[in-house]
Amino acid sequence: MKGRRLRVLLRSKTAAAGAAVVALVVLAAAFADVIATHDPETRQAEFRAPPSAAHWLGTDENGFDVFSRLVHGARASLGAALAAVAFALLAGVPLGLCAGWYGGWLDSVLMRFVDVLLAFPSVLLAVAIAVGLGGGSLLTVILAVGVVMVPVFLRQVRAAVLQVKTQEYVAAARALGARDRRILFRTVLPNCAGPILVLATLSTGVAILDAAGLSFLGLGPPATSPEWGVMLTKGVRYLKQKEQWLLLPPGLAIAVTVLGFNLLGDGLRDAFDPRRR
Amino acid sequence: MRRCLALALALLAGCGGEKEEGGGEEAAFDPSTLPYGVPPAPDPVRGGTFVWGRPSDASSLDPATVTDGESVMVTVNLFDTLVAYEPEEMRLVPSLATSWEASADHLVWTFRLREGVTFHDGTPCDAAAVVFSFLRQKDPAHPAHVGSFPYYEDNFKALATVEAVDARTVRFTLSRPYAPFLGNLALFSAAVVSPAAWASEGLDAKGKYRYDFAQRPVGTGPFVFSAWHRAERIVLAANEKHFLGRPPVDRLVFRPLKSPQARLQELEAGGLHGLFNPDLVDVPAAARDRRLTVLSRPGLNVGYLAMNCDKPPFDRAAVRRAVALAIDKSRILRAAYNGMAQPAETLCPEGLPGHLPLPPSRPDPERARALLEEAGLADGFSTELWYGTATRPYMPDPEAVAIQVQQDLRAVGVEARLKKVEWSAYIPATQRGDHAMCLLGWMADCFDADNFLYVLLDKDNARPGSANNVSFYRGERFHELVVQAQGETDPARRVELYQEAQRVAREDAPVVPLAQVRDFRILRAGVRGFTIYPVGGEYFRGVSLPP
Amino acid sequence: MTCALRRVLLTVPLLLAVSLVVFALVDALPGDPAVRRFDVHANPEAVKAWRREHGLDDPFLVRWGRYVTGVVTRFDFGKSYARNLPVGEDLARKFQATFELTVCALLLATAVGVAVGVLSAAFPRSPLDVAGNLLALGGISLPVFWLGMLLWILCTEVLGLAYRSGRAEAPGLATGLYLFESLARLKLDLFFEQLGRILLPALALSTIPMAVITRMTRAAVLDEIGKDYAVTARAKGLGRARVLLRHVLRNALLPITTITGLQFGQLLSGAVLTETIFSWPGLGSYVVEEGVLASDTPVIVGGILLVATTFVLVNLAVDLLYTVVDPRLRRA
Repeated sequence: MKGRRLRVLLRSKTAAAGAAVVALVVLAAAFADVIATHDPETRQAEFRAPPSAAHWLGTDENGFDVFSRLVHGARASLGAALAAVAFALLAGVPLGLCAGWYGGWLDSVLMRFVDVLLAFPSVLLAVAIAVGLGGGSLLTVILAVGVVMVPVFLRQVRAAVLQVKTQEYVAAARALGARDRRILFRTVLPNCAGPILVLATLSTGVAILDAAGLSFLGLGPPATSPEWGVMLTKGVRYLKQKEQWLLLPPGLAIAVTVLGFNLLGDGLRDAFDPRRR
Repeated sequence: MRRCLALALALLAGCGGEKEEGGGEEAAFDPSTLPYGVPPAPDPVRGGTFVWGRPSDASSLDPATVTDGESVMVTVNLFDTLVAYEPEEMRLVPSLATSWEASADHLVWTFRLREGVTFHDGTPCDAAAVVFSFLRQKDPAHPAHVGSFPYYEDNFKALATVEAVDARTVRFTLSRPYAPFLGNLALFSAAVVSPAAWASEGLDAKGKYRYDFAQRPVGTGPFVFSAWHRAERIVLAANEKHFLGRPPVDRLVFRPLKSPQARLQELEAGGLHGLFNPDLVDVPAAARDRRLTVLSRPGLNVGYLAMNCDKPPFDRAAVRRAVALAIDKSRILRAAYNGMAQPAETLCPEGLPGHLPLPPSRPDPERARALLEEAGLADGFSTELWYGTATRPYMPDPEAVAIQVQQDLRAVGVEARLKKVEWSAYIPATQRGDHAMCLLGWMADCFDADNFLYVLLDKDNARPGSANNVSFYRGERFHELVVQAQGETDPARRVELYQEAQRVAREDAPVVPLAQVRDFRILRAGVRGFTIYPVGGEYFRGVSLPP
Repeated sequence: MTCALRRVLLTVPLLLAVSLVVFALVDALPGDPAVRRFDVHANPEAVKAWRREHGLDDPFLVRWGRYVTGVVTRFDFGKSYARNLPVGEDLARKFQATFELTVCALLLATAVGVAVGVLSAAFPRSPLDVAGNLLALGGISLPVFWLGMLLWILCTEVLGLAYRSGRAEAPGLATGLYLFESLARLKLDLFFEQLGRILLPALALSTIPMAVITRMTRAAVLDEIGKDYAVTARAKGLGRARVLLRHVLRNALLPITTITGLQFGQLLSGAVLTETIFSWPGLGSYVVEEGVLASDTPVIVGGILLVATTFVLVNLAVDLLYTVVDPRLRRA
């Protein structure tokens, strides 16, 4: 079965395009120090300079080199999004497994908890959490975005477990006398892995957008740190000025990266569920 | 990613190319060519509603308790003071008082009041009303003493008694000679309020008047309070019976619009007739717009970097001087002030008598490093630089300033971590002295150097918890000079004393003055009768609409 | 019917839990609000009195209980720390502004999304379909605040239209719903002025839901087209359009309604991020500018609570609508 899925995946053009984009951004983030032309937090000679040979994307209103900030921003924005998704996985998957497998009061309590968190529009909940944590750093953003995603992961994993629970191989394992935990980790989890992977990929895109949003509002890292959302914060002031073009690099970077994750996620989803078109 | 980057670059090249011409023009823009004001029309258009746009709504309309500019700009049109400033040369002219004289020892001041002035509620404005207006600020037991009176405490400490000699004469007695006294009587907080209005609803259980004066103010001013729709508009109506004549317009409306871009758009579209505090980056384009008139005037303000002398290593003058030498002011002016400010070399701004003209300082990182090495800090040190979130006229972009200062300091080995503090917490925090370095500024309340030098640098004002002297500088020589100047009645001698004090302060370098920003206002072309006042507020008595 | 009643009743504890979460989170804001607010001229007595006035010395649950009681019985959301004015009045006004904006955005998103989605499904793999797919994919990948700024520049610079941000003044109207009321009262000049101002922010806000609705509609319609009844209808000789619009679409309406209801949350999130750009005086810019950026706790709590409550109620309405649209669910 796995082989078939893999073959579908490899043939999918959307997944290929998405993977290519994601790979490029990851490389940029990993090798930011090498790729960047200048230090992103050191002032250059010119303010608001247009693109030139020395500064490929020009300099911004504080005198920082835009290209270097963009490349280092990949590290911050992508890193924060991946950390947030990791947090949601570490919290959501075990809880989802327990809720789906054991059921009963544990399931009820967890589902109520999910209901309450899902009663908030995501950005608003992230804002509230960021406010409570004090704002002002990348860690705050990671935690806020991560917590907001936990209920989604929890629900998805629980639904997958509920489905797998009814399968014959699970009944077989139980009949053989295997302990619950063993069944959970050895049998149930691997069969849920597909939907979880799809969700994680698509959620990374959402996490990048939410993190950028929080930074844009000023709840993220300080103004000097290279991060795509931070780079857009001052944008409103310069809407009518010649510095308008400063809006393009970080916005495009976010859009393209999220698009990559969406394409990859779509491809993965098609591979794991061939009925869908 | 590479494809998109190429696409983006192509777009950028297109955008960059077009806008560069505009950039060239901007560099040539010189705000000092703009006028201070537009004179009143000889035969002004009568009637209509004048709408003024500003960043936020007022907080209260009680002239004695307010401290924020948004409230002050409304109260100065509702109330009059005993004396007032005329805007051209800032001379004191009679207002509610027609004449005055001081005793030989300058302790007793007697004022003769104008005849026939009435409050908006019809009651006469007499000596008793003036006494009421001052006693309510001085005496905590007074039934109209509701709230706190910061301007009274700062500026009228020397006032011992105030009494009505007869219906038209008021006598003030000071406890010591205080040179700024007469000018302080022109402060917005020294406005004369209607005792009848205060008393109109009786007393409450705590012995204070019930009447909510802050929401329904009654004064003698050229405009009468009409309505206040919170966060939407404040509406004032022309006072037919004002002693200087009825204002040309029928109604005056104050509209709060938070974003400077929105204010400018409304002005361009005709929803406003004038606006306060435009974004500095918008000014050059507005000056070229035929539908608008841009006014400008050197502002009586100063933005500065303060070092807390109570916290090492800033307790040593050598270290402070090194910091001063590291700062590149011209860069800060370009990055954070869009070229609309001039460098400040002293805390007393140019335009005030007593200002000490100094040659512009040049950054000297070499000397700064040398000084640090002498002080035993060859490896530099790390510290924190605090800044507030609000845009203030003296510092429209504190974050940009902080970033530049951080870069300047890094070049001489000082690592300053930036800390952004929300504005309403920033003032109390800096007044407590929680900071090591902070960015702050001051706008003139009255036309006197005392308002800057005494308030900002004197040791009397260095009490943690209520300090306006956020550098906690306690120089003795400076203190002597400034206090002497307070009591000195000869203007020429006062100027000498203040200039000497500024020399002392420059040596000790507790602060690094950064910028003095120009004031800007934008009006619709055709509006007449408005001038920028360097101090105090916006005065609409003479304003008329375009024909 | 009992299912619906249960749903409604369960909303009450849900809202209480929501209020507890918001209150707790914002209460955790570091620092002491009293210390923050007071400056030079405050004596300790005034600080203590202020704390008492805002009830800051009581234990957490007492404060929460008092707050909730106030909200439910008197619509009293406390007073803002910065201006000492009742938060409830501001909330009422701003809510109506955001409500108008989100409804317009939702109408726009649904109209365009369903239309494009149906057309895409009707002509699968055509250039229209491919283009529609790409645009939709792009739509959900863009940061909404960036899109807002780009649209603003596009409108004012490229197209040269004069755009005035914020809401237009509306003298003579009773409610805060300027757009709807002016239409209801047939004050057409006022209506068009309001429409002109709301169009750009509504367009920016609608893009993400529009993209999602397009994709979902396409998927749902394609699903239905493959089903037996549709194939049979076509075999019987009924025209394509007729089958599509009269039969398929009606059945696809259920998942479409679900998605549309869910997008409301997306719209509220987006409002928080875009209102500031367009100076739209709604709950979003209120929570951000006057709440978060000013560390004004009552404003943040009140704003978030109101938005979350609206979201819960809208979800409830959609769920109840379900039982009407799909009788199979009534007994669930």
